[in-house]
Amino acid sequence: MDDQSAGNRRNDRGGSVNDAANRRIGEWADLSAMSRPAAVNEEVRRAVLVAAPERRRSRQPLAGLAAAVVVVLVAAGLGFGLAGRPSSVAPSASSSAAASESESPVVSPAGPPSNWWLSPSPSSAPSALPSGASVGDKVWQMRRLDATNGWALSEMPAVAGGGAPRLLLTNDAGTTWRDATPAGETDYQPTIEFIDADHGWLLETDGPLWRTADGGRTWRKTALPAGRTGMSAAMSFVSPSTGFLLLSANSAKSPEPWVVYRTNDGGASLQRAGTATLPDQPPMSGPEPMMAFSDPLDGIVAGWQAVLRTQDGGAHWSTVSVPVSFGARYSGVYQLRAFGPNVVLVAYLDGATAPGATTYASGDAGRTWRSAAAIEIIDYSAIVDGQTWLQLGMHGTESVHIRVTRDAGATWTSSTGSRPAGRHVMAVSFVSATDGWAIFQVDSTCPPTSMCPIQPENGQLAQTHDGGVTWQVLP
Amino acid sequence: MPIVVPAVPATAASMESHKRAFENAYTECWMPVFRLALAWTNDWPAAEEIAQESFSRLWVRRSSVDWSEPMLPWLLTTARHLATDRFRRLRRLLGQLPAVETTLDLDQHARWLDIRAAFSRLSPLERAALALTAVSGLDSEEAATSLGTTSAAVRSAVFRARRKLEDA
Repeated sequence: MDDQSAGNRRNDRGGSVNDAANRRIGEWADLSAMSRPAAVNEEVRRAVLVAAPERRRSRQPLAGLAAAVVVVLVAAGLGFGLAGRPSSVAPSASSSAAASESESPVVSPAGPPSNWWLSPSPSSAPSALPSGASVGDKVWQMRRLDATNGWALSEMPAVAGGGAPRLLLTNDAGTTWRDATPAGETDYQPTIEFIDADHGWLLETDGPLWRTADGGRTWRKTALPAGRTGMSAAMSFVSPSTGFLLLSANSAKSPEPWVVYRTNDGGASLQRAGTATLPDQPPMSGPEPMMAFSDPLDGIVAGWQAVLRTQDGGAHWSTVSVPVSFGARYSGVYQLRAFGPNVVLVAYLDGATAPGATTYASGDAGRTWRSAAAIEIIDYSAIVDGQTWLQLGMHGTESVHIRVTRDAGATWTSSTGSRPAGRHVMAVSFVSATDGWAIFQVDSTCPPTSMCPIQPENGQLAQTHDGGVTWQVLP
Repeated sequence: MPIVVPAVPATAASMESHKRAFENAYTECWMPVFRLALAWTNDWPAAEEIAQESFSRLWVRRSSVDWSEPMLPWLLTTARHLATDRFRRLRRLLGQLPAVETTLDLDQHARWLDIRAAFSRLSPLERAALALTAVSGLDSEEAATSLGTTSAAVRSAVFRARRKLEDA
């Protein structure tokens, strides 16, 4: 689509409206043409030459370009997702696929459909990754569940060819890992929730909802309700059987952008619970909504500039007051956890005078909230339980500033830890004030220009036993 | 840190054809994809990242792509998803917001700020509908598919967009 033809069409179509609108549209079109693909191409090529010197010696320019693109993809996959299914991006295809899936019985004790069990036995394990494999250096999501169990979402290019996403589980605190990816799962950006070593759920961007009750050895899937997607979704399970999904609409014109669904059978079927009305969130404006249920009745949804509460299992939601001046200063939450009646959320505020993050706590399932920490520039926050929270901030190039409270914010202690040179923390998950994981990502060396290709952002998973002072990279 | 290049199970010949087809798609579709991202976000650096990421995803799935089909609908839908969805997850944390500048020169940058201000009165859907139809030449049905809405909604969004721009 060259710019000239765009301009012609513009003029053809613009005859019936006044000149002011056409002029502005023309200005917009002209200026937007300043972004040229050739420039990006060149940047991509250059990035590869810089990043992979051996490619420079290659006599095969084709391989060079392919590698160029692939390198960007590797980076993109870590940072922005590599999901490549046609159905994940083609609305017409995905809606028809969802409809057909919805027509299939989801659970049929008499005779499940043939695609219901996708991995009927451990012998037909979902991938070739052997048990005991390493987690690799391309982790970009993870959660430590308890002292021994945890999961990581990783790309395992050597195994998966083309860089398919891999859900890896450990039962020995990260010493060994096994591939638990549902067969056919290609979404780099699924929403994942495990409540113990056995029971977990994986929600793909366009569905389905996968569920396992045996630590990822077998998975079953449930189609999402018509008109709903897993994009920006949130999940909260209070038991192996009872949980909630916050699903967005797959159409911008839906009168109900967010609907909460409830399951009482571990995700085999989803029943509409109610509508959570959140303010419209501008694109790229901050975190997506989060949801946490304290029990089958009490839950919180925290989104952009709003915190909502239900007391009846998601049927009705009301806005609750959090002691911060909402509006321009409140941006959103990036941590929300419920431990029975104790609910903790970490919000960040984007005010011009005091940008920073802070922690709020509730002891009554979200009815009332108190501010539990000062507003500070913190990079990451780990909520261990209702009382124990950690905050991590990057200092300099090799240190981490750590603050920890064991009494729900009444007192905080600070310490300084180290981090691998040239890497920064990408995510943290702690199971006590001392034991936790972090993903350390390669610092970008890209100069601050928007034409920089996305840099490889390899994520190493590391553990700490001393509250983040020292870190050991997991195999 | 060595860069791990995923195994690409392709012969030189198929790589050649994929590469050629990809480059064609890149040349032909960059502008409408970028424009959709720009319209949706009203943010130049973000739009460039989104457009790049859209093409990255196309390359990832190259082996399953039917290159005889038009790539634009897929790319537009991908860009729209990226603009509205989890792309922003990377930016979810403090300190992660990149301080990026555009490649525009000073004069162009000033013009962009002016245009952006005028277009900020439009909703993302209104801007996107306008970019796809009036600028990139899609009909309202094609635009609706890419935007996940109806052609009637696209037409009314374009109408509203023009009204707002007249008053801007």
